[in-house]
Amino acid sequence: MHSKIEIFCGTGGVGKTTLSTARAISLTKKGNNCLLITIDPSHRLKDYLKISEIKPGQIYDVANPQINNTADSKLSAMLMDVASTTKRIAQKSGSEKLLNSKFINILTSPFGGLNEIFALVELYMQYEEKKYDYIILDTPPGGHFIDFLQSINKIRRFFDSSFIEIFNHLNQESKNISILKKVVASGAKTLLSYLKKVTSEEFIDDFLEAVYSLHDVKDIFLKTLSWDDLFENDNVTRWFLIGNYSHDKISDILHMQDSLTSFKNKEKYICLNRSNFEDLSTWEPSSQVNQELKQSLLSKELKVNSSLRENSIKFISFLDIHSNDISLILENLSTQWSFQKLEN
Amino acid sequence: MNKVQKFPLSSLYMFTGKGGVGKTEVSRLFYKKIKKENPNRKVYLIQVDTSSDFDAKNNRSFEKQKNDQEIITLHLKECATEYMARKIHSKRIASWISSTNFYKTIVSMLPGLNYLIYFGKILKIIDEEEAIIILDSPSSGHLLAMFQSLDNFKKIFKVGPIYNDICLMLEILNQENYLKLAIVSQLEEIILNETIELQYNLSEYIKVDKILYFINGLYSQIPNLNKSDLPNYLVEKISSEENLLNQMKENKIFKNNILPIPYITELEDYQLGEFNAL
Repeated sequence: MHSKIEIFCGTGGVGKTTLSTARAISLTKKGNNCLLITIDPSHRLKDYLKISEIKPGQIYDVANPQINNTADSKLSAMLMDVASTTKRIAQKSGSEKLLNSKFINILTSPFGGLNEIFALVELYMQYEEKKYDYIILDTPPGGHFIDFLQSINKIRRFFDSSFIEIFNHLNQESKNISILKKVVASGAKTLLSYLKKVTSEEFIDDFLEAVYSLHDVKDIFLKTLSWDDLFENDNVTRWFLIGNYSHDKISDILHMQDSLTSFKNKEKYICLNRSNFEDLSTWEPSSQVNQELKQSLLSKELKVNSSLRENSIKFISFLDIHSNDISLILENLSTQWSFQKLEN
Repeated sequence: MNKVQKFPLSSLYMFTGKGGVGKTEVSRLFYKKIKKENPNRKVYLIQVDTSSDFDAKNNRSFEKQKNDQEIITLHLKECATEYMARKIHSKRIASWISSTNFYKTIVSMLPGLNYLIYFGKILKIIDEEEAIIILDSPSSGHLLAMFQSLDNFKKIFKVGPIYNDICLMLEILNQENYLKLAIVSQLEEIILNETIELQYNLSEYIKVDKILYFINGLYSQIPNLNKSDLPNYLVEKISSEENLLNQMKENKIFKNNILPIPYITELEDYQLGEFNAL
């Protein structure tokens, strides 16, 4: 059986990592084997999961007895790291070239900008393992739901069409007929000559080395194109877009809502973290300033909720946990998750 | 009287912070302030289109303020084509190149490249118009990527005209009183730690004179708030705010560079006057 996929998206600082971890805990406690893939959990999260020695890119079984308390299910976690994923790709395809390319080495550094694309590849490699009931992916920070989906197109573009022109121009001995057939009008030679003008001969060499090394492992990348369908398939993928009542970004949530409507998958939820609705609505302020504060905080929550309801978008509100203790927060949030009846 | 004014004027103010902390609002206010104080200089507020997809329309377009001609949104395609045209001395060929699939693919696969292009454009505006620029830059993960991209592409190109341009850019950015970073954040312990980490990581790539810390959305700073009449969670929030604020003031990284901003119940009331009163 292939795993079910749950993807958490949202801008940084809204509680994406906390909510996805709580979700993984809740699913594990219900008897599922789960893999949590996350990019950069804070140190306190590492402490809680008792995986403080975790090395990037490796899968660790979470040792916290509060989570893995049954014999039949366990939670595993991986800190995704682009360089380790690159290594795994090289091992899988038996091509060392990828690891020797200077270009690829620079670009697969933590801030090289390829996080989303490699997260897709990593996700697919784990999905193919068929080891878990659920894979929970906490997407790279900063990215938007749409950015993440666009990564599929970037991979397609790179391997499917444009670079073929270059390969054909330079690699005439290529025996791959199907590639040759796809050649459109090739401006590759002219392009490279301009490129050389603003860069250097050496750059072109390094560049082509990188392109070739990627071409060698293209099968693994091309497989990830199946996310296109799998992401829209509600039997496979469930989406959680995370927002936060306490941040001044209602526009962000409304924007998420827009991008959701055109997306076919029905298993999509907006998660709104940190609701203080109850505390606020029972508060009876005595002064004008306090009254204004109450109105402002309350209307923020109401505005978001009513807009989502109007547009019949499924959303889940999470109560704000007033604590600095990460264990307490995660425990409480995972209980809040367990009350959600998402399973069809 | 005015804390911001104490700092010597720089050419480029980069505002950064995580999503949803009010970065855009704060940078806009700062822009108005600088503009008002420098009537003889050109002052621009610049936003960049961060969608890495080359052809994507800017889906979160900046609401243009009616009477403001100096708020600019930079688009990747325009900036890149302009740069290329300068390098190969032909607008026509440059726009042909930027329309090829090959080129679009490279730019969208290498997100760092767009930062490079934006930096180039911004430095050019400063140079040509002696302008002061307030840059509402992408959220902090991206900010680091922005500086690292300069370093990465320096290593990638090694020699040649683009390499020379990158070196020049770094030289300009490292000039005294040229670049100032302004980090906008809300006050939470975790954000504090990340800010320290961000600053540490940045120092690897760029010499930053001074970082201004705008702490936004503080309940404890709301004028005339009756603190004895609040729901429990706000009482706790305020006491943890005060705690963290004190910690920051004692920390030499933040000391003297902190600008607390109260939580504002109505954005419309969030006037320049209040901002100046900081």
